[in-house]
Amino acid sequence: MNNNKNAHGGLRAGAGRKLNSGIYGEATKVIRVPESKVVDIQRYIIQSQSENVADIIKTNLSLSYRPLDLFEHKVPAGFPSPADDHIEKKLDLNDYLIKQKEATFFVRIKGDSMIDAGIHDNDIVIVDKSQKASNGDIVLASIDGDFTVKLLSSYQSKYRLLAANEKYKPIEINESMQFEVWGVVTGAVRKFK
Amino acid sequence: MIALVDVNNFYVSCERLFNPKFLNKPVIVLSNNDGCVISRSNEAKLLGIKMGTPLFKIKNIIESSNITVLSSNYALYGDLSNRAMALLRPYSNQQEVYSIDECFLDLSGTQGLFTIGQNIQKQLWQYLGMPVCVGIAPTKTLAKLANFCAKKQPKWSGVFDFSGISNTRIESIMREINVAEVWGVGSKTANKLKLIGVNSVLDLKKSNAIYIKKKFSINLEKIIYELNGTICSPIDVRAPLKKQIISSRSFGHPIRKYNLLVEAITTFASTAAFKSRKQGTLAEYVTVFISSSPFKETSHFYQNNVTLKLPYPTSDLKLILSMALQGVKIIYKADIAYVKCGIILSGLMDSSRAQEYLWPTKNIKQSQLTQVIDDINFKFDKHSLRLATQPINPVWGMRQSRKSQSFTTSWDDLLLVN
Repeated sequence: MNNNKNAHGGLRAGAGRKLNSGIYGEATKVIRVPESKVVDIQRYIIQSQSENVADIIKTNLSLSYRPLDLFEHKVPAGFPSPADDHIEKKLDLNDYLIKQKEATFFVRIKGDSMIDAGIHDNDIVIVDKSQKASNGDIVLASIDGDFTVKLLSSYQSKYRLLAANEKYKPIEINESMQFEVWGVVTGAVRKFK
Repeated sequence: MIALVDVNNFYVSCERLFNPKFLNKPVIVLSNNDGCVISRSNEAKLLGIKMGTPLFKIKNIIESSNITVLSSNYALYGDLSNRAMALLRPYSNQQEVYSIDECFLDLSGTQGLFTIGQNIQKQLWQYLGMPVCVGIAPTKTLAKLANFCAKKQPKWSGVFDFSGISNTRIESIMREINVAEVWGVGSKTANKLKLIGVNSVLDLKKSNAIYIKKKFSINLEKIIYELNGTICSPIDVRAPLKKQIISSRSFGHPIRKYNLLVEAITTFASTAAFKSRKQGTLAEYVTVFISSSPFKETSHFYQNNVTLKLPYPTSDLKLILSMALQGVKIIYKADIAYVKCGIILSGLMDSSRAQEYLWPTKNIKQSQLTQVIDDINFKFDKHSLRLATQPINPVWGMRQSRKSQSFTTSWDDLLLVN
């Protein structure tokens, strides 16, 4: 007979998976891990495939063992809080100060011309552009392209802008001026500290 | 019926709100880095200034006609846009915000449409000092066209309602309008249409849709149906998810140093990653690109880009950044004056859908550090917390020599009034 019999079975060159051809590009090894840690290990392996991320792994792994806050455990029994049904909502100064939020703007005041109306230097005033101004309103107006905050006084379709400080003279609006009431001042905010 | 509301000369109108001096005067707003004209007041249009003209080409007329030139102030425009869209929402139960300065409103079942259009106009002018035009018609394509009519014809004073006009009247209007003005018809398509004798909007409306579909595209077929009053593209209330997120800028000055490029890439990567988190997507790929100036004849032009696959879909800044910086390392060449670089995140997927993607993703959340940075930056100033390589006042920062204040978004920038 010939040698053919010996050609069956055994190693053949080029057969089987290529070395280092797996998804990790290197030899792998089977290990036992606790079931609860499988996901962490898989995540670790995926992340470590990109370079420069060693610190991310550290961050992620250490953060995943964050201790629970003291109050995260609900008290399973006991008398329910009698206030629970009475909690409505937190007070929000925006609700108090702003009526039409899309048309409301903040403007900072320079100088003391409105001091007797309670508006001081460096205060922020709230301007509602949706409101139509009427006699006696404090308004943000523009005269020939310059803004000013003053008291609006109208009499027989004549307009005047009055300061709330006797040091300043009233401004008479005449036809040669480009005059526009931009919005109505509805409030002021001041911080002391 | 559908209304298209759009703010005239939006950026200029925003600037005028806080600068009444600019009213009735020629004003233009420039693109990033004060490059080209991107918004013009009517007065500037009358002076013959075209959209997209580079600033240096109109230096003379700017001086001779005393045109006010402004850098773009996106903080201001974005805030005022949000306000305008919020004011328009109550007019309809379906609003599609189509761009920063226009939206579609579904007005079906509503009476007195012309009056509604006028009310919208009055309200936006009073509340935000914005001049708007309103086009009302049965489909989005027609509403766009009605808006175009409202804008071009002063006698209609900014509101145009197709439903209040006879068919013959509409067709005679359509006969006068160039087919290139139809929404979705680009200038190339318009030229091709003209070759087969379709010149006006009316010609297109009367074209055989099946033939057009064969010869051009299904989109153009849909446009024909829409011009005839059949809705093919309904109002889409969801903000479309961006398929790509690009964060890039031209530099104020060319830069050569590797570490400055790293600074810039860090800044863009954090912006892009933030945008991705904000719209709830994860990215699969990150692309980095860098470029020298194509206009400088003295030095040779170099541009390059590289796209890297992230180890898993993510919006985590540290991971995206580490990849992006590898990318910079690959494409950086020394001794080149770079004028632009940027980041593209692509292969974006819904973060809720990403769970189906691969086995481990359901267990991968963005690092809590990134979340903390986001939270703090949201609460305080935009860049309160930065990565150490992201500078506050970069040497490569934008040229914005003529920018107005951020009147509505920064306490330090409020309007000062006597």
